[in-house]
Amino acid sequence: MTQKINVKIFFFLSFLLAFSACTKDEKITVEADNYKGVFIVNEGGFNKSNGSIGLYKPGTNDYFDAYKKANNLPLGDVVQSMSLLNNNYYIVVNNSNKIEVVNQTSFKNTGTINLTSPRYIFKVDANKAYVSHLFSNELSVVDLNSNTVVSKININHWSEHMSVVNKKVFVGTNSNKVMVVDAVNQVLVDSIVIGKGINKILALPNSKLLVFNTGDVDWNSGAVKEKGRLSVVLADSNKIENSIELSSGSYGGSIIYNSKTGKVYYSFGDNKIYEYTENATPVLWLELPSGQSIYGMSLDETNQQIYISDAGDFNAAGKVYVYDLSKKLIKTITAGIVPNGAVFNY
Amino acid sequence: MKGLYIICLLFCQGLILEAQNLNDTLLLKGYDFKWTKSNHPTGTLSISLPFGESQTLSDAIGSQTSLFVKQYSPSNLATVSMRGMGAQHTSMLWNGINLQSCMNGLKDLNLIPLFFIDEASIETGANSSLMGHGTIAGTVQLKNQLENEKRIKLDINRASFNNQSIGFSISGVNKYFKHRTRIVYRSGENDFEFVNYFKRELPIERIQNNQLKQMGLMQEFSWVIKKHSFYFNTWLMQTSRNLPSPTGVVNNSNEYQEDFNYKMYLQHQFKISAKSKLSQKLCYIDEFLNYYNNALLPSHSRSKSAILESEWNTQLNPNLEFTSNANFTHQLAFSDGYRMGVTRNVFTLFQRLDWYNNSRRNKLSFSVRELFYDNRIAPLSPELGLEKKLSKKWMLKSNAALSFRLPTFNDLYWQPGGNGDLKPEKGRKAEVTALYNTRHWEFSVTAFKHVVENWIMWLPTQSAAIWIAQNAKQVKSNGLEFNQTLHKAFFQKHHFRVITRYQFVKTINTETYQNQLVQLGKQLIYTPNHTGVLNLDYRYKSFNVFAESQYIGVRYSQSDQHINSKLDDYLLFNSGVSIRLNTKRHQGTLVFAVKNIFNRTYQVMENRPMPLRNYQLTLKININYDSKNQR
Repeated sequence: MTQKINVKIFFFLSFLLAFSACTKDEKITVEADNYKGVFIVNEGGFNKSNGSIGLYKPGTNDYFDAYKKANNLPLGDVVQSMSLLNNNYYIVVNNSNKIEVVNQTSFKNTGTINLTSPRYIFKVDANKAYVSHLFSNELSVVDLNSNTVVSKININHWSEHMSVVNKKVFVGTNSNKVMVVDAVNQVLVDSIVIGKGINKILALPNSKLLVFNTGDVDWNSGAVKEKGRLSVVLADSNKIENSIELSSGSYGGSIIYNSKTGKVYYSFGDNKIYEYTENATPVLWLELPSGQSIYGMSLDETNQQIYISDAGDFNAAGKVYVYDLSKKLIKTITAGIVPNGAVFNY
Repeated sequence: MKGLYIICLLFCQGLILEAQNLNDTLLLKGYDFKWTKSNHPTGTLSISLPFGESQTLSDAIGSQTSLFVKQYSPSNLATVSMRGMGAQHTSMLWNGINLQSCMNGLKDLNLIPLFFIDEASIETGANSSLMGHGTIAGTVQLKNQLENEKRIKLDINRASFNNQSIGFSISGVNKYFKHRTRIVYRSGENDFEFVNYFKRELPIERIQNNQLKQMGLMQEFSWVIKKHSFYFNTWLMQTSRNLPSPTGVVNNSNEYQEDFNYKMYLQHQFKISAKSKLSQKLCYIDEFLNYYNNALLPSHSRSKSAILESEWNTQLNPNLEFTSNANFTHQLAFSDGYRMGVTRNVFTLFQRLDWYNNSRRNKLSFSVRELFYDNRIAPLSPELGLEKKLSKKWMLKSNAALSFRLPTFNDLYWQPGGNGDLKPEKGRKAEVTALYNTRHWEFSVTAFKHVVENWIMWLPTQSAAIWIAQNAKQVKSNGLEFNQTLHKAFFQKHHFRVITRYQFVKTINTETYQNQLVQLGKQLIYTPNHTGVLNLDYRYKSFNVFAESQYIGVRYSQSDQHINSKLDDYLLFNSGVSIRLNTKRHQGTLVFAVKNIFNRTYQVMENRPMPLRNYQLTLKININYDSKNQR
């Protein structure tokens, strides 16, 4: 008898336990009738294959995984960058060793280019683009009609961000130099010593470039060994016209250039954004609330808004804060894992 | 599926209770009520781990317990999570020696072949380890035991994906001396098929770069000289593994890892009197880990530990037992993050009193451990345990303890990011177990609560964009465990055994840093709420059939439990048959097993495919070469 009562109590408790832990899954109900809006590039966690391209519809709360929705496929591991070339988006998926090519309107996949550890793709002329690489001292030359690698250019270093001015491609590297490649003859022609931690190369008016390097930090002590710099390079002569030392240095950072106002905004990856105007001293422009940090920045030239990516703990959905130029927070977007930038498709 | 399986588990328990009413002859020995052994925490649960047909420790724990084994692939890094805590919070003790790495706090289950282990159990006590630290959730206890036998054993295993293993042992004995030599060799391609869902055509591909080669040697001696007994064990393991990439990653760098482990263990026991004994242990562990990647420079690390431990146990009076233990551990490690090498000396004092009342229905234990390391004193670790026999069949156990875990060398010294100012993690826990026990059947239900403060995590910093080890959060874990084992025989010929285990655990972040707020109130990543096993075994004469099922509940790979990071629950079934062929002196067993019998696609970790249906054939030969001593 006692045993039967025990059984009943046990069953009762067990059923309570079995059903109390059930929770309903969240459902995403966002619908997209087109792929206009702001794409968020989410790197994803390294070796987790959870990178994505999200689409945010300004003025709404709509955000969804655009690549997965259009193609019913996950994207890959470490989505480094996305560029619009000839009405196609080229999505560079670094640790999947590929570039996915998607149609600008439908976002449908139209091809895949397989390469070694690509970082950025940059259009050099109507039919040609260069791809930079980790783990390779060569740039890959991609034919944009066939989306195949047609040749390679040795630049003696691993490569990063690029810019093209006057048929010359300026390539940031993992050394302290920017390498200069003749885009017509496709050969390395020069190099420019900038400093360590070359981050971005931006094209300015009047055949100039702005190179942002974040300096160097001692791995053991965390002390800044070399401060970052902003260098204006003359594209015609490959010479540095002006270079200013910045207030700090770090392992990473981000920079944007507003061609309408001529102002530059940069960050060392903490929660501070500095404003720089050519020939002026940089000033602190905006300090985000404590607990937020800046993993990437992108400028919406059309609406004159800055999209600031915050990777958070690198293992949860990151945030993108949208500020206008009066420093007013317009919107906070919950994005994918490790958002590093935005691409605007209006 | 989850609810259905849990109901099935519970339904089976109901059937088992009904089966108790059948008045059949007991052929398999039931459990006796025994007090918790003096070297284990009073009031906690100890579950012996049957090996089944498992070849590795990760398989045995996964298929026989409700613990969650995290593994990237069947032959790669596998760690165990107990009660929702991290892998570093579960110690792995080999003959009482903690095998957790001083560099990262982990021990890879796949580096331990079961052929080298004689007994294994799961302990849930905070002070399960008399020595050292780090046992916040519990321990996996592994033991070697030399028997009085002259025997040659041969285990030959052949399995899918070109996996094979051979184990050979020879043991001997005379009046004062025993010895055993064991050798194991294991290799495999592990190139199982999976659907590549990152490609539009959803092609079926084979896992690349997943080969394994493992060799091991264990030599044991024991001898007795009057009141002194000695045991010596030396163990070498060499493992080479390729490291496969997750689905979606295209990696041409041929990553692989080499592990070399050497252990030497010497134990001396001296029986001072009928009521008092003294034991000493000396252990030396040397481990290498080399990592290779075609695109990067190789990475090398090495750690050495020397351990000296002395324990005195005495019966002060018929009701009172006293144990005193002192342990000195010296640790040394080199790695790419600290090339000059780092060392640590840890000295631990442990005292324990066990009291029994006159009727011996109640047992009360109190222990306290004090630990000194590098001129610092760690938090005091007291533990209180109570065991009470309520009736002939019912027993109540309860235990409460404070514990801690020292930061690992990587946490403290790795450059960049190591943080010398880290505090030890502090744990506190309480558990209560109701145990019902008959000759045929044992059932227990345990409720537990754990809290860990100063949980160490590596987090990105704002100022330098590097990751730094920090005492980042508080975690609370609450849960329930059910365990039952039934042995039953019908008509003296048909033997049944049913094992059911189930765990419900809710492990949530209760305090975090400001930039980790999304984690607040969320279950820890890769921590299922529900886990369980239901294993059936039927034996008729020399014929045996077994069926195992394992349920792992939903997990999330993101710390914010985003729906996109949800990993589906899964239910796996394994089954097999074995036939024993015995002579008067020798035995042979042939086992055929099918794993994942319903061809279930599942992932333990995100984008890490696991094998579909696979097969295993094992031949075990046991030769008794002692002409005087028949089986």
